[in-house]
Amino acid sequence: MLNEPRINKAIKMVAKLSIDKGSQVFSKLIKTGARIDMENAFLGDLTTVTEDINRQNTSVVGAIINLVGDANFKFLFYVQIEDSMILADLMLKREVGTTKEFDIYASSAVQEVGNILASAISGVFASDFSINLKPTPPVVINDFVGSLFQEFLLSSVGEKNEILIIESCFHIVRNNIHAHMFLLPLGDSEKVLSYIANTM
Amino acid sequence: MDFYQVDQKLIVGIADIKVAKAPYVIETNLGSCIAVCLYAQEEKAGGMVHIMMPYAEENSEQARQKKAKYANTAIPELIHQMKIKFGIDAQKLKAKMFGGGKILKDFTINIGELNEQASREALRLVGIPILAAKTGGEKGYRVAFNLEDGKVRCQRFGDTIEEF
Repeated sequence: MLNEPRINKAIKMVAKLSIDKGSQVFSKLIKTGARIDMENAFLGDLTTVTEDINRQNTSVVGAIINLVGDANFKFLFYVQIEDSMILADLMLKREVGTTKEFDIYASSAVQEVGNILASAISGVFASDFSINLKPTPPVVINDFVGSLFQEFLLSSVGEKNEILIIESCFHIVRNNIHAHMFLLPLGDSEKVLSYIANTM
Repeated sequence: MDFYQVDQKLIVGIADIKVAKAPYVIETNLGSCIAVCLYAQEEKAGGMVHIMMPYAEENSEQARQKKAKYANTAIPELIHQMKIKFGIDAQKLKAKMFGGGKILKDFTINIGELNEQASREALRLVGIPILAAKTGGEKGYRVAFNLEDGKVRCQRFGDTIEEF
């Protein structure tokens, strides 16, 4: 069903709206320009997607958040460890470079950005499509990117071998931070995407 | 000690099998998944499977679609591929296994532990000995399997690299 072009269009629209809203909120918070671009929205094979991620071999810190309600989604936001320190400085309004090692502030910064972005996505579903979603508290993980991504997928792909991935990258222009976001529909959330497609 | 800097490298994803001969190195990252490496010393050939879940019902649709996903179907499939590609029988193979961490602490079941138990059981059933293992903990793993000598370099996140 997810291969239907109309549903792909719905996925891309939800992703774009969420990303626009997330960009606005985040830019305000850190008082600097943040641009979030959607890189990809695709249905991919579990093995191929994770092979690509494993190839990256970086250490990251990420926040996993469940969006639960009329539909269920799982959201992942991650940055490289060095970038989490810059995020901490931006959010604490300190000079960039003040945080020199990964600490509780860097971890909290990632948790907070994850919260902001997940709330933005929930807001779009509620305001534009009358679909209520509530974000759960973020779980922050500091690990290899491949390991983090596997845990993100773990509860979602028990019976399935294909995963719908919405991948975005945001850039904080002045500091050149690259972050990644993934949104994964769970269970019968495909029906919600069908509904959105039908209302377009 | 560092990871191998080689051009001939294969990367393994979830529910994936890669088999090759020296000079290849086979690499993967693991969370609660388990990597089982099988090696035939004489032929300098080996394979790695990245197992995500403990069991699938035999001949079920899930098992047919992705044999490498489940321990009970993945290990026979890895042995089968070693036989088909290199003509190596199971009796010549030795195993090493890694991973199975519990990274998400709020999960009530320890899927990593279940994966490890199921993998050990699958290897026992086919009579392949386990020469080394590093499993468990609360962090992910990076694993590199060198087909030149069958050694595996393994790093649990935050720890130093060890060789098995």
